[in-house]
Amino acid sequence: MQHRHIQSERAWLSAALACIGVLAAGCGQMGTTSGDQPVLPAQPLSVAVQVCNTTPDGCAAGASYSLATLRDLAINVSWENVPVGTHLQTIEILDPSGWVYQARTQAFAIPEDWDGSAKTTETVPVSGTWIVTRRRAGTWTLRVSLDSQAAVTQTVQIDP
Amino acid sequence: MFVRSGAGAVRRAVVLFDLTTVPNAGIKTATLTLFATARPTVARTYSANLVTSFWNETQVTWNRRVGTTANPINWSAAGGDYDGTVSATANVTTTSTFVNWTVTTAVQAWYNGTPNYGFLIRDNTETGAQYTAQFAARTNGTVADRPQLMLTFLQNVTNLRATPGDGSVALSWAYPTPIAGGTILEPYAGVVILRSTGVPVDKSVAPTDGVAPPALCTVVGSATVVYAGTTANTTFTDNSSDSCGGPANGTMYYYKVFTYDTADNYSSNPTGLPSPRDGSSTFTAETGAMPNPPGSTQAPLWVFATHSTVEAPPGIMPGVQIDVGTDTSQLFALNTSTGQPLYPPVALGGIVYGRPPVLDASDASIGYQVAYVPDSDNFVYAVDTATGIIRWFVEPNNSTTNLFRGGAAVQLHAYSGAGFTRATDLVVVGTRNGATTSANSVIGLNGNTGAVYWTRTGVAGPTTALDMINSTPTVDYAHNYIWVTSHSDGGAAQPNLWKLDSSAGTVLWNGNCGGTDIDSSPSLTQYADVLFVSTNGGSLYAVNPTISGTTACATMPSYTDGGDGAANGFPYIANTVSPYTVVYTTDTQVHAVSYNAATTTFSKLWTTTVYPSPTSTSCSASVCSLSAPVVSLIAGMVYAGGSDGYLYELNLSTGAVVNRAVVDAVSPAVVGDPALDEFNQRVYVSTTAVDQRALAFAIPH
Repeated sequence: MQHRHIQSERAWLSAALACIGVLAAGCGQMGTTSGDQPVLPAQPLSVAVQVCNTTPDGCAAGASYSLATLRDLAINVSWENVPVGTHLQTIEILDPSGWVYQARTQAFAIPEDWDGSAKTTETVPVSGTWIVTRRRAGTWTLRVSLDSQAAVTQTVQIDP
Repeated sequence: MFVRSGAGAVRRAVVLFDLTTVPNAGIKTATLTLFATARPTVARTYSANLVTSFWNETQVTWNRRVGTTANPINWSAAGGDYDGTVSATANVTTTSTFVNWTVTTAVQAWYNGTPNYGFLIRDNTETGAQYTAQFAARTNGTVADRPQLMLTFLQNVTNLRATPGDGSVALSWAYPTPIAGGTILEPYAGVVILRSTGVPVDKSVAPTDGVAPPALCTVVGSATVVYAGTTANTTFTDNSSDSCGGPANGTMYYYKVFTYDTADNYSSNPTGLPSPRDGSSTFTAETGAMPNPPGSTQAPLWVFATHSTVEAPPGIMPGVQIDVGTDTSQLFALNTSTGQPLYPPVALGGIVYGRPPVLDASDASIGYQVAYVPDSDNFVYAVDTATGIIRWFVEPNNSTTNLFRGGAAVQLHAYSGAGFTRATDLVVVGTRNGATTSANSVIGLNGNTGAVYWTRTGVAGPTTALDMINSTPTVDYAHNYIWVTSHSDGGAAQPNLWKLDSSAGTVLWNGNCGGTDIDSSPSLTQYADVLFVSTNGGSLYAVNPTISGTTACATMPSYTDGGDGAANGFPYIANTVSPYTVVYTTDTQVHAVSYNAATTTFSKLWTTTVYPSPTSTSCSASVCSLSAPVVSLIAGMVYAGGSDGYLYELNLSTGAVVNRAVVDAVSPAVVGDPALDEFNQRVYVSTTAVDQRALAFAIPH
């Protein structure tokens, strides 16, 4: 009785699936390259993470931050000895109960004639956000990875 | 479009596919095909990588992803932001025509919650000599040569329902109709149903493709197989005859339903990419129910996994769809009846923190059913929510620090009087630049095009400094005002409430209410005689909208009920004429207060303390808190989400907690701001913590 309604299955779409955007990127004037097997520099990859509270007077670092006064949490990541090529940095931000609140990705490129260093900044709004309205004080965790390889974990204390 | 190697001469191509024709499916294979119109002089290997940033077809260049030459918004990495670890490769020879990349894991990731920004095609070895290939683009005159994405997939069941009974849950579903243009490979064989007790079925749990349906009572991940049946059946009652153990009264059960075909493929999207870019399965049909003696209505109408924190309350097109913005920079459009996606999520450039206004095509001057969505990537988007197409997007003041937090307000031209002089709808947003306490902006946009009508930017000074805006502006149609709340650098020295002329954006009045920042949005009565403003100090102000000159907000009537933290969301006005009943929540309490506009006096109706102790191990991270409320006048109930995994229902007249629906009390989830659908008598909520989901509940429940 119901078989006439039960006919879709594993289906194959070709032309029915429309492509909405196809375009060529512009030509690079620089010699930016990215191979799948970049040449590793002599020094091992290193990374440092520094966080601070973005204020009109600058970014103030501290041992802990107050939920009441924290405006934006700036996460500054400094990389050294990164291989030539385009890389994807991921920062997972875990709330005090341990689940991923946000995961932020950012690409950056290391050109051939560079020393392998790079700096990135992610700004996490705090004041007025869910973090404050749902009172998520406690120990937050930042898990930083590069190209899906875990690099460093750091905690940030946010006080009530 | 060209792909080329060679130092100083590298070219890459980007290609994006619209997946809206396959909205609700488990992807089994995906193949990207490009037609080579010119080939390299030696065989080369080309890779297809996932693009990781939002870009625009008409504006993208080597350095720029969106914007113009004068105001570019560049890639983080020149040559395109892409994920180097997720790629497929294909050989392009001197005789290649159609070139195929197997991109199954990438497309599964899009269906699992990773934003779809398309593929970047590049030579795998871009150094060395120059070798060039050219591929047909979407504008190629030969349709068959245009880029294609070939998918094989299974659709999910539709119309999934769970009806609780006395020691039972009755499930029903329907099989999907074939998608037009598709070719059927294998027919459906039936469904497999997994059950989880107390918490939703983990999003990574699914039967294994190529393996026959697991036997009844098999444990798959954290769930149990309670049904595996053929297409002859579209119902299943889980009760005491269940050999795996029937459901018990008073306990919440969640069900996930997978279709499978005669080749034992399941409607799941297997884990393809490393966390967190892959939500690990599956927009499979889900629901839940709490068995109880007759009379129980403890069943969500549907459950849908967003695979992301959702801070934005859902926008609603009553009876049609809800639109949910996420922290994974996406906008989901869900059918209000089934909870199933109307199309794959729309990939935006940044996090969506605010509720998107959703407008009917007949009302909106743009002529489409549209949601206006500001995001943390500094853009405002007009998303056609009937199709998922982005009609326009704009970075309105060429700033990289807008970090929009509040939603957009819209003044509909069709409902505005002659005093509103703009020819289209007006979209108003406020910036949230945390690095300044004085120079934030309120921006008015043309709803049809995104062009800036006006910008009002604060400057340092006691009456002109505009701190960050975390709220959604409010439109006053009667007076053609825009009301905006803001921070005030934490004190009383600068304004936190602003009144602007909606046509010109000029500041007509501002003041400081309560000497604190304000994060909640203002609420205007239906006839625009009172504007209610609640502050971060927990006070509620009744502002006369005609306030002007140097009149201070402090002269306006105010109401404070204890020190329970800031007011959340916005004050909810529960009726249309004075005396007004206003409901608002603070950290642990729900408040109802009456305001008499004639006597300009507040009087307390009731205050209900939902959490006697603000800290409890039953709450997420041991901190108890409430969402903003909504009020159903038809049901006579107030709804607010808790951080203990419950959606609370309070009697509007008395404040008594009359019920609480289980959302996820085991994890527990933090239940977000509800959205009210009086048309369907439902509330929609989203959750954070562990498994992020959106749910619908009938009201009263």
